[in-house]
Amino acid sequence: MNRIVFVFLLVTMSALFCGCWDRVEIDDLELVIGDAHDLADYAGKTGVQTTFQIANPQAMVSGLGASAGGGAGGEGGGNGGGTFWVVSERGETIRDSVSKMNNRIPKQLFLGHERVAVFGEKAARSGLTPFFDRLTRSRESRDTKFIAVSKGNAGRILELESPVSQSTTQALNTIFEDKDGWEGILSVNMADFLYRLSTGITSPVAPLVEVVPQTSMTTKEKKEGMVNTIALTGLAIFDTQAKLVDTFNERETMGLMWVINRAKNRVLTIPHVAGGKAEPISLNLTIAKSKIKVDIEDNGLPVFEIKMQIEFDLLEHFSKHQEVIGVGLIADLEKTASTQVINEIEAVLKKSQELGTDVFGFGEEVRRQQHRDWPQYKEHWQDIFPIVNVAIQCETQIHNRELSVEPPGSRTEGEWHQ
Amino acid sequence: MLHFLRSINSKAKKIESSGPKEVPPPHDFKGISSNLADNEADLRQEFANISDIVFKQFYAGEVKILAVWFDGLINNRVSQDVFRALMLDIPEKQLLEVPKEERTDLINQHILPFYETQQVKDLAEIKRWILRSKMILLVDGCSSSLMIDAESRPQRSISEPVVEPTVLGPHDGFIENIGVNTALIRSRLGDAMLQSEDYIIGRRTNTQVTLMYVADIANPKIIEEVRKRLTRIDIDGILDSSYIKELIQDRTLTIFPLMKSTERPDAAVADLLEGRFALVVDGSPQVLTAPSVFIEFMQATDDYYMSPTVVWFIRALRYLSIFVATNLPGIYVGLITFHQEMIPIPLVFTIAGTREVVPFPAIVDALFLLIVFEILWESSIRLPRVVGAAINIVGALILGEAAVQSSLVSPTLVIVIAVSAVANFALGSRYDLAQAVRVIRLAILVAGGMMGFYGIALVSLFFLLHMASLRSFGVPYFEPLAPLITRELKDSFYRAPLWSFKKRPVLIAGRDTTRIDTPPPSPPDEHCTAGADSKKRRQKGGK
Repeated sequence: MNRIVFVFLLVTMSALFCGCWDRVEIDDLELVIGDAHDLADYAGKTGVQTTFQIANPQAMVSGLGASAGGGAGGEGGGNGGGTFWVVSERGETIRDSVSKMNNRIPKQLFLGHERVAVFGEKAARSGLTPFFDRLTRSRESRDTKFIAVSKGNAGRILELESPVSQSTTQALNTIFEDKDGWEGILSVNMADFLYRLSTGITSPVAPLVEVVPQTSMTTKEKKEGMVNTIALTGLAIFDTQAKLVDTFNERETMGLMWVINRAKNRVLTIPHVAGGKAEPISLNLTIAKSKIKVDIEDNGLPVFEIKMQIEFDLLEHFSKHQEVIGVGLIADLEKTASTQVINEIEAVLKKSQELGTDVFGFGEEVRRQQHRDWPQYKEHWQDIFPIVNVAIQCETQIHNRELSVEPPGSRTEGEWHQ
Repeated sequence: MLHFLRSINSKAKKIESSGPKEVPPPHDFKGISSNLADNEADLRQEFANISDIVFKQFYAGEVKILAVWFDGLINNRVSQDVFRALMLDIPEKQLLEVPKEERTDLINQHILPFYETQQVKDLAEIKRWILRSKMILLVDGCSSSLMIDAESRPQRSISEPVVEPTVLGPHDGFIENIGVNTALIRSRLGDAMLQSEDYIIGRRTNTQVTLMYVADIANPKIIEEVRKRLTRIDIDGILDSSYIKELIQDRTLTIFPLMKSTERPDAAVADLLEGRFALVVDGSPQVLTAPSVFIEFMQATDDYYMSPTVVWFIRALRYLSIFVATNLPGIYVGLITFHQEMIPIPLVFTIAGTREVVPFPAIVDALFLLIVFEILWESSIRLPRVVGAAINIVGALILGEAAVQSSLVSPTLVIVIAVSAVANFALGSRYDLAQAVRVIRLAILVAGGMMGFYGIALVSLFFLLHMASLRSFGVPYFEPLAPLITRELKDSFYRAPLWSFKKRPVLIAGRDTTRIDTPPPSPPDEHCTAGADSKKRRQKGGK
């Protein structure tokens, strides 16, 4: 009997610990899909401007989408017909600005589904640490949220409409999820960024997003004034205090991606000299691996050796010469490709050493591989990094050339296998 | 049907050959008199006010004989044969030539040698035999009577199981006649160790219940326990095997089936071979087998008629569907009212978009739709077949479609409830488990709607603890998972090939524990492979 009473109490009490009053219907939530943070003047001081891109799920489901012609309203405005709307407010802190939004947002703000956080250039230059406090202090945002830095005002990015996706943040989210490692695209989420920041020696990076003129426009889009769209144009480089230092262009970003093992898909176009004329050949990346080896030299400085192993497929031979690519030529191509890769890496290495930002995580490598010596470098790493020597090796293999041995119409057809 | 009562080569146990066991209230022995008129008067008094009883008096030679039976329960052809033999074929004086007391013996042994017969002296027993659709012959001048089994009760023919249809495997099912049912079992299990005991249960219905088990496999303690539980029953009537089930199972207040009831003779025989016992109840096409464990209810009979590798997939599907059937509505409502951040992002917009126009909270919506589905289920069982189609249209098409169109429920929810309902029926053919799933689903839905995943975990834990505490005839319900018997997991979440089932379930089978002693099949030796020579030649040539 006592046991029954005990179990009964246990069940009823555990049921009371949480209950219906915590219940929030999903349609009572304002689903924020992206946020943007800028520095702005507020009450005579420097405050923040927070912009939320909020989903309009009903329009998203019923497929009204961009075709409904609504789209984003202006600052602080909303548009009932579009797939999203944008709210922007200024305040002393982020929370302060968000609290002011409540006057015009009908439902409860829900940040659990934010996909992208965009930081304005000004905010980034002044340092991102204060902005991260809001994001990390509460559990409502996810660490898997992607971050980006915009050239100019970040709110502008959210206000734009995407020609294909339902909103710009969804477009960015899709790019970051599906095309990470393609060409010069490097996805960075909150966890990545904060990890690099927490090391104190590795420089955080974040993709750079920019408003660019839209090149492929339908007449309808022209009519609606959708002349701009967003694009990723490189990488923002931070110092260890999370302040924006400089940006990498796409080529430099690609160089970085070789080293940090993030290159996944890449079309590398190299010249192929045939008959005294250079013709372009495009190679498609299949496998790229890098290894960083650290040694301590006699003078006490660490020296790095980057070993790249890359495999390409031959993708395209843009040529009027209908000449078979022989084995000897392939070896030449492999050499050219290696040189190109090494050049890219050297370019980014040079720039980052000039800036004094260890984007490669070399310091981390020293800590891992020479952990006995690391304490003596730790404090001075910012001074050491710009002067360390780095040797780069690259082994390239080109495969799959046999799929199309010779260009169509070649007169040498049928000779190769004899 | 008497052949079932005969002692069947049993060394372990003696089975009395004189009629059914005296389970109903004991009676005083009252012998019949040698005067036929007295006996007739007695019987007529016993069966006063019964219009469908037949008293047929006739002469065999010059001896008066009285036949008593219930109209319609006796095979006409057999009774005619009896009358022909006694009235026409018998030599005039034959019955007069023997002492009066030996007349029934003579009839039994020389005149009617080919029927299931038995001499009865007790008036109460005679009465019971008549009530159990037998014919009784009372011979003048003789103080014993003759029972003739010419029973022919109205019955349907053997047909395909209704509740447990399968694609592969045998297609015959039990019917309402116990004689046919036991014959279906015995014809599949031709082993002398398959023993049976008869019980008459029900003070008024006098229903025959046959306990069957394979004597050298079954655990004697379990069999003793069944006997004890069966003899304990004192009820006025048994109309179906589920009465017996409810009266003898370990625990009544549980939603989980503790005894398996099956319509399939092959399933019953499989259970008998694992050391379980079977209870065949007259008038019920469902044969009970026990001890039952939970995983049994996740198995279908034709799991053993298909390739084991295919069955892995099917079993996985079945476990998935029991999860979906019990949890999906609860998880859905919990997700969208408590854990919105756990919904995948593209899905959250879809759900939020469709929910936007729905006026009720998600839990109300879900309860409404689920209860409508339960009502539909219930009504489709009760409805006469003729109107069934009309109700299906109203239920499925009009309700579902219109509810969504009028924005009373969200389309996503309709899918969730529909998937969960369909998954309910994928649980093999265990109808009693499907009933339990209905209850669990409702409990989890309410918990999910009120407390989110915490509530779901709480309710699941409750059911899990409850199930783990259940026992079927002393065997833990979660055997072989808890207590863990790794050897027997071969037939749980997957099914291993038959040759690997070397032992019978250890907690169920008591004695002969070896099931299969066959090495796994292997490819033939090389020398008998067709074309082996040419292969060798080719290899040589290659070298």
